[in-house]
Amino acid sequence: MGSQAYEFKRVTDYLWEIPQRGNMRVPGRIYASSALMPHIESDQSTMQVANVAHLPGIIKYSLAMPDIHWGYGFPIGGVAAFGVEEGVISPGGVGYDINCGVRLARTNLRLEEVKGKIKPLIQRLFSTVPCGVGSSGAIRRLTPTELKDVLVKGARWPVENGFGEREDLEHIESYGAMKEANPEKVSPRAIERGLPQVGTLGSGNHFLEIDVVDEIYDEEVAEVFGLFKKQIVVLIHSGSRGLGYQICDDYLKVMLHAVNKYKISLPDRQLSCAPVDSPEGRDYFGAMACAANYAWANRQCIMSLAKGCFEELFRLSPKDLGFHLVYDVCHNIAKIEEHTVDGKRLKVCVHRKGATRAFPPGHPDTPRVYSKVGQPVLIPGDMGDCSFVCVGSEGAMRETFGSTCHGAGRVMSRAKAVKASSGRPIQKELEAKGIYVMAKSKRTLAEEVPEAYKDVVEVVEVMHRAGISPKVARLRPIGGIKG
Amino acid sequence: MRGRAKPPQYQLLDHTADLGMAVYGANLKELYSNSAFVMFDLIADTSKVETKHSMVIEVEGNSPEELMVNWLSELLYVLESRSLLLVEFNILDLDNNRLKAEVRGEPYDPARHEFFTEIKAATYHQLKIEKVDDLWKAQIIFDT
Repeated sequence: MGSQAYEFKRVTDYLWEIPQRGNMRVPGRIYASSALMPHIESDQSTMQVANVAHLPGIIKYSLAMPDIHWGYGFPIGGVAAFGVEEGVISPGGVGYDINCGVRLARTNLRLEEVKGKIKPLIQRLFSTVPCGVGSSGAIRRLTPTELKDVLVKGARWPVENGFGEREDLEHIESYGAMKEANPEKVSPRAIERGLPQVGTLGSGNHFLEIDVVDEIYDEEVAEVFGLFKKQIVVLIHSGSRGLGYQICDDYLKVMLHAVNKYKISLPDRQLSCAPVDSPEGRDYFGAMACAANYAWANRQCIMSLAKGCFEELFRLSPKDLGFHLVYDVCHNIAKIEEHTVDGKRLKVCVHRKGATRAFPPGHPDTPRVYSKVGQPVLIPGDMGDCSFVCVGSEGAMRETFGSTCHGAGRVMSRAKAVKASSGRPIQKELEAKGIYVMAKSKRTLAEEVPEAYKDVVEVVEVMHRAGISPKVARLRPIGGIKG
Repeated sequence: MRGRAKPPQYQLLDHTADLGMAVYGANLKELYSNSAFVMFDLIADTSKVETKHSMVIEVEGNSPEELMVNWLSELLYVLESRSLLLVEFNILDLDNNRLKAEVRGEPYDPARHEFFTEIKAATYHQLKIEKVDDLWKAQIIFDT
C-alpha cells in the first residue's frame, strides 16, 4: 500500500486535485474547504482516493466528497465511474451496508402542535418501530419464497401488503426497486439473515428522527418539495441489515479470486473487483440490487409504521395529517447510468459509497413532480445536529457523475467517542438542547456524540458553493429513536 | 484449549469508521478462542451470559488469516440468525486451513445482556496474525 504523501493542486476554493502519477489512470479530485482539508489529510483517505484511480476503466476522476473518511479499500464519501465494457465493479466501492440511505416524509403539522407531545410520540415510535440488535420486524418472519419476492419488488412489496401508497414509489430513487435484482445470486445464508429483519431500523448510526424545518434557502424549490418553515418532518436512515452485509461479504470473497482470474493488479487487495461485464461482476450486481431493494422495502415499512404512530397520537384524518413521502435516496450503491463524458454519451457503472445521487431538472430519472427543479438530496447530520435538504443540478452531472456528499462523516473512532463521552449523560445533554432521544443501547448514544463527526454544515456548504447540490432547507431534530 | 480462565489480553485499535482489536494468545488455539471472545465482548456485555447452549462450528480457509475471518464471520452469522451470544470457545481441531470448535452461550436477552455495538463484519483490512515474543497476536478490523 505504501504511505507516499500525495500532493494536492488547488483547482478552486472547493476543489482539490491529486495529479495523476505512477500507476494512477486518472487524477483524484476532492471537494473540500481549506477548513476540512486537515481532517481529510489525516486519515489515509486521500491515499485511498489515489488507489481507486488505479482501477481499470475508471473514467475522468477518482472523486471524493467533503465528508470523506477512511473506508474499506474505497474511501467512504467516494464516487467512481467505470465504463461498462472495460471497467470494473467492486463491492468495496459500495460498502457493507448496501443501500444505506435516507428517506424524508413531510406532514402538515407545525412545531407548536408537536412540541408538547414529542415524548409520547417518541415513546410510541420506540415501541412500534423495531430497532437494535436482535430485533425482528413488525412484519412476521418471511418464508424464503416471500423474501425473494421482496428482493425483486423492493418498496412495491410493502405497498402491496398495506404499508404505504402506490404514489410513494414515484418518490423513491429507482422507484424503490432496481430491475437488475437477481435473487438466484443471493446466498442461502444471506436469505436466512434477511427473513426476520424486514421492516427493522438496525442500530449504530441508523435512526428515525422527528425534525422541524428550521430554515428555507430556496423558496421555489422548497415549495415544489412541499416544505415550509416550522413544518414537522420525519427523517429515516437505515439500510439492508444482515442480508446486505452478508452479500457484501460473499462477493468480497468472490472478487478476491476474480482479480487473479482477470489479472487485475491492485495497490490494495480490498479494491478487489471484476469486470462489470463478467459473470462475477453481473452476479454481484444482481445480488447487490436485491440488497438495495430489501433496504427500500425496509424504509417503506418503517415509514408506514411511523405514519401509524402519528395518526394514533394526533387523531387527524390522513388528509389533515398530510403525511407524504418527499423522497428516498441511497448513499451506498452502484448504478448503471448514462452520462456525457467529453461530449459522448457513455454507459457507466457509478459507485457511490457514502455519496448521494443528485440528478438535475429534466432528467428522466428525476421524479416527474420534481422535474422542474431537480431531484431532492437528503443529507443527514449527526444525532444532535441539523440535516439538510438539497437539490441535484447540471453542475453535478457535469462534474461528479450526478453525485454529492451523504452526511457529516466520522472524525473520531467509536472507541475514542465512547471515551470522550464517558460518564456524560448523553440523553440528558440532548434533552437540554430540546432533542428527546430514546436508544436501545447506551453505548450507541456514546459512539454517536456530535464531536465524533465533521461539521455537516461545512460539508453541505462546500457542495452548495461548488454548484453541485444547492441547499434548499435545513432541518433541526426535536426527537429520535436509535437502535 | 478451554475458553478462558481469565479475561484475554486485548487492545482496542483506533479506526475512524470501524472498530479494531489486537488480541493475544499463548498459542494459536488460544488466539482463535480469545479473538472470538473479544468480538462478542465488544458486541454485548458478556458477563451475564450463561453457557446453557452449545454447538459445534467448523470453518475452512486458505490461510490462517482467511481462517480467522471465516471463523469470526461464522460466529456473527450464528449471533444474528439464532440470536445466540457466545462466550466459551473450545477449539477442538486447528491447522492452517481448518478449525473445529465447540462453542457455548445462550440466546440474547435484552433484559439481562446490555448491547454495545453492532458488528457488521470482520474485514481483511490490516489483518495480521504473527508471533510477537512469546505470544501470538491477531490484529482484526471490524466494520461497524
